[in-house]
Amino acid sequence: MAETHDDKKGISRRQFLSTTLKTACSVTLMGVGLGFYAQRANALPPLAIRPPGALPENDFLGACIRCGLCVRDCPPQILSLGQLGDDIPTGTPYFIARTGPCVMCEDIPCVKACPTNALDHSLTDIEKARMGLAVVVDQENCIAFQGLRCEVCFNICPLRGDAITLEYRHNPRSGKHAFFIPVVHSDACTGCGLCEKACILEKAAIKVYPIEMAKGELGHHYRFGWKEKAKAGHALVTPDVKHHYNLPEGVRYELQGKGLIFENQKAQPSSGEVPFPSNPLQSLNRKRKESE
Amino acid sequence: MNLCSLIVHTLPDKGSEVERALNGIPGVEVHGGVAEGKLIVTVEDTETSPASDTMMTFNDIEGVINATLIYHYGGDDLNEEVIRELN
Amino acid sequence: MSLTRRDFIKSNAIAAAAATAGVTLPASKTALAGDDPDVRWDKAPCRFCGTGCSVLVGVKNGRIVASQGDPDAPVNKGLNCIKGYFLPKIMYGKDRLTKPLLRKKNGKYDKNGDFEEVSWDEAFDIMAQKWKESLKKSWEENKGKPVTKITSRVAMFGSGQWTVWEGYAAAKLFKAGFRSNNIDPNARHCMASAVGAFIRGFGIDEPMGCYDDLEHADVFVLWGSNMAEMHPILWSRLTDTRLTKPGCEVHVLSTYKNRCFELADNGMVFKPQTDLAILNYIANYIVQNKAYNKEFIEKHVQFNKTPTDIGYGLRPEDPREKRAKNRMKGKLTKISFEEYAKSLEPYTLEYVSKLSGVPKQQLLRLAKVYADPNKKVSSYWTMGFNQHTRGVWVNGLLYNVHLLMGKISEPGNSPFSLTGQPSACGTAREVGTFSHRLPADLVVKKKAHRDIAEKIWKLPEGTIPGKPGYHAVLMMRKLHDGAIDCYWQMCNNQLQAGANMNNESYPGYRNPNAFVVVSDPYPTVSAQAADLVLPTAMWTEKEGAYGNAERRTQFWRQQVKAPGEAKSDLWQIMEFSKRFKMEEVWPPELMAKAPEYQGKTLYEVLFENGQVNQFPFEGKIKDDRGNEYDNDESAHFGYYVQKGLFEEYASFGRGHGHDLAPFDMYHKARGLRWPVVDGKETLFRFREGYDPYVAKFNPNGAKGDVFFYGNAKKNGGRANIITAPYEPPAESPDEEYPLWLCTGRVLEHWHSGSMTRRVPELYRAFPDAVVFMNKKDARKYRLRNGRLAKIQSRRGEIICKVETRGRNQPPEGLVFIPWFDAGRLVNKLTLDATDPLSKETDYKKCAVKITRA
Repeated sequence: MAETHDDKKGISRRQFLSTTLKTACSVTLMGVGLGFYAQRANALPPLAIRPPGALPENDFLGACIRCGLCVRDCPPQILSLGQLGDDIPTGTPYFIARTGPCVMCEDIPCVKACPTNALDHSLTDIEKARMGLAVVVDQENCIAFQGLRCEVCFNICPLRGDAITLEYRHNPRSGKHAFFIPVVHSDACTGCGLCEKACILEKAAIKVYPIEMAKGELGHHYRFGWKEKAKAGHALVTPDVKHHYNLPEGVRYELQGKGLIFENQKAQPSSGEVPFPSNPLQSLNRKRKESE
Repeated sequence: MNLCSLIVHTLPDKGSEVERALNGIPGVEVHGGVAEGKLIVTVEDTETSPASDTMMTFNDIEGVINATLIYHYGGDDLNEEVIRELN
Repeated sequence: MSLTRRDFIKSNAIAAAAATAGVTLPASKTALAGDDPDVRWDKAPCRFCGTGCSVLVGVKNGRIVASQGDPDAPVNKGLNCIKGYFLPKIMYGKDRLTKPLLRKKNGKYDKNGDFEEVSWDEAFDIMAQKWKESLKKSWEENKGKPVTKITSRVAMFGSGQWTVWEGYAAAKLFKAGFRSNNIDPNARHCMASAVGAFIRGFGIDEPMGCYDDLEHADVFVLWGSNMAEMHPILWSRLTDTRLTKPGCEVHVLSTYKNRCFELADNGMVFKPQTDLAILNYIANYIVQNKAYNKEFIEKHVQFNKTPTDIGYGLRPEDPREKRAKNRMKGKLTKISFEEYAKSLEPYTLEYVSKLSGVPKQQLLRLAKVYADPNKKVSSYWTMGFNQHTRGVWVNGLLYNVHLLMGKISEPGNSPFSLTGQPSACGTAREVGTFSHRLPADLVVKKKAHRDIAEKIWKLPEGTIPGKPGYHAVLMMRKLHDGAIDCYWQMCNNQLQAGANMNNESYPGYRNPNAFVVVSDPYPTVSAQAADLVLPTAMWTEKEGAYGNAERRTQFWRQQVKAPGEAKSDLWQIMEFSKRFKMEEVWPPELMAKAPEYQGKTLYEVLFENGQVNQFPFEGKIKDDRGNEYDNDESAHFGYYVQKGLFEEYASFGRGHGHDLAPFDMYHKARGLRWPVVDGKETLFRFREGYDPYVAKFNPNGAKGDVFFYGNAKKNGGRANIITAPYEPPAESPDEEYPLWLCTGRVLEHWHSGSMTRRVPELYRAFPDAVVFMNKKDARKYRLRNGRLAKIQSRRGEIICKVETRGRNQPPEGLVFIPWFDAGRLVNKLTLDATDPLSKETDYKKCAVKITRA
């Protein structure tokens, strides 16, 4: 009985504390956080895609131990870990298709790296992955729907011909040209996001959504994020112990920061907007020294 | 000077007929939408008929289901050169 | 732009109604609404491929701020591919060159110095100094030689992307001014084989048909052309016909599966080089089944054979050249129909199916559509045929098939050579910027032709050398060997584009004795290896004219100013000519024939000749809507330069089957297809009723009959059927290098990528070159999709990512690498073997090996 009593007391005490903390948090958010949130709304695209083999979101969140090993082992380094204040539960892996899509490694190193099966080890064929689903969301701005010859999404699709096909249609406006309309097939689309990244519009007309979102579970998805916070009762996690990692030379790991950091990493050829420095003299004089 | 735009809903397959009829009325111009059965039409005042009167006649045309006014401009000096403030 | 408030309000009203109704209206109806009335719109042809789409360019405050497909252009009806969609962005790359750059050490030119900014004066000073030293050496070498033996140590490598007048001014400066036939366009890499076959077959260059064939054919056959990606808008038209015309079929032949196979009813992957055998099989089938059009071949065809075993255009000391019995020979010998038929006999279905790897029933199906007199067949080809060590032959073998059936020169029946560059036809071919040509199909070899040019150009007899100059590939070898001192590369990227870069072009560019000038808007791979880089105005930063693949000439006005000190190619060519006195470029014996030119400059003789400078310039170019445009060249030189050059050039072809309309017409029309006679365009050549020249040459011919008037003098107006056998390629896979390498383009990038890779969206769409290969090969060589592989040939190696799932699906034993990527130079691997007749490089066949990188 005493236990119960204590519990009751404890609960009410926790509730009290929780309320106070929430208030404190709100104030903080009002005072400091608003600007931060407003900025983040622009900086962070709302759609984050889980790595291949991720269990259904609920199970995944339970299974993922936020170790970051999948991020470490991703060859093109497209995976990130959710940061404090993200809509993504802190420390869980995701990628943003528009900036860094999954390149669908045949050996799926991220899955192999997962120590808990949060990324399901039974996934051995990357083409069976279902990270999300591509949707041609804006048919008014997609230039293929106007008859222009683009088809970049189709061309870049690793399952071109299965996941994305082209539907040919007569273009009645011009009278003598055809439309080449991209059509996504959910039974083959892995949700890798290469199409969204490659879309040549200012804002992609084809977007990869998490499957549950593409199937109309938009609100559902977002609730998971807020639930996590609500469960924790505040937006901050308890201070962690100091982590130590097995890392190769020249690699650092920031658990609450950028995750893996590669020192002296050569600029990736595709990392810039275009592969040229803006000063032409830099191209002209640099290359010669390399080649001579 | 009045200038209006309307959507004229037509019976399916009657689009081009209605278009022809409308284009025959002074001050009326059809800009598209035949295939959709929703003609995009502008009406302007003419010397003999104000835009409002012209619009009333649309309902007498065979194949017209309904005409909806979308935009109305009433003012002067429509022929002056466009001015920079428009930016 | 004259706009009333009414226009503006009205278009707002329309836009509002359309938006509410969810109806999409043509752009012109609502353009004004959300748009800026201060944007000035004008037309221009696209900067990229030979299709020749038209775009509308929107300019505000001196900058191109908007673009749209031209809805009134007959070629594209407002459509574009994604390269065309991003046209304005190619001009605004962050690293545009804005100042001349010269390699210097301690304030002086030094081949091994670093690039430093210099003035145009300093740039032209050093150039003129180098040129003059070199011209002197040429004089010495040419002493006592007849005009037919004259050589030169200065050279220019130009472009099928030059505007018509740029190519014309450059050809005139070199052939007449410097007396050097060492001027060749990059179209040598692109269209030379097609040209060779046109001249051999029909005695006159360029296709008889036009794009209207695309709506009139029943069957389309693609031979070595990935039209789906390389001519996107034409492919869209072809697809539409396939969709909407009952019974329409598409046959596609290639050495690997490409995007065209998606639409193909009969897709055939053949072993490289066996297209020669396949075409002979089709001809054999037609002959064996007596399906040929007897009346047509009796009246309009002559049968010929060509020397065989002609080598591979490699350096003469190469063992393959030493073995060749008839190296570089191509003189035709007339034969009988029976002899022709006999030459086809070896090409049976069994033999050719085995040789090519194409199943019998597919070959048979293809042969049957050609042989069916009731089916209209249009055949299209591009680099698969042209970049071929037997390019002229294979072009000709296809004409053979069409000619046997009489399927030519009428709507839908068309052998049609597509071009890769926006003005390969208009500039390189029609203007004749090749080392052996003069304008309007004239050639330097023939005295009568040189006479015509000298007369029009007001030059003394014997000015133009009679010996063809160095072609593109030979230029690289001569530069490497030290036979060229001064090399001016303009409007192309030869170091990236030329084959066998490690062993020929790069050592050539860096030859300590050579002075290499590169004119370009951007710091390309070529510019990096140059000694002087000239910043160049591009596309609508100058007034221009292009001629597309269907003989359509299209003009544009200058829309904006070039950045910084960048100048157009035309300005560079003409301004440079001011640096030379006649007696510095012509030897005394030639000067003696033209004493009135003593003391004058090259510029005065070539350009202020009373013709080029005959049209006054009023300070602005005006269109019929009252808009005003700059014309920087005309403002600088003081007369309407482009008009003067065009009219002088057009005088070569008018009355000779190459008639161009008057200059001003082209600023009004959405392009005109030549010959334009009495203001009327010609859609199909060589057929009475369509082509006014037929009646002129063959006044007694029947109505609707054909007459190949290009051969009127040679054989009474017959087309030549030229038999040629299958011969193996220069280099085939073996144990050490077990894979074929084929190179080419992708939809997103154009040529060497110097423009399209500077558009972030296009770069993102296809960032770096990959090696497309078969999954089984990848497994065999222990490679994985997306991982790096090293590809090696006997000449070099590159590293790129493996792509086994891409749009191009090579068969086992072949890999495909696009050449647009300056970071992965595939031409380190390729072999500089050429067609011995056309001198065009075979970029489609060499042997490589591939390993994990």
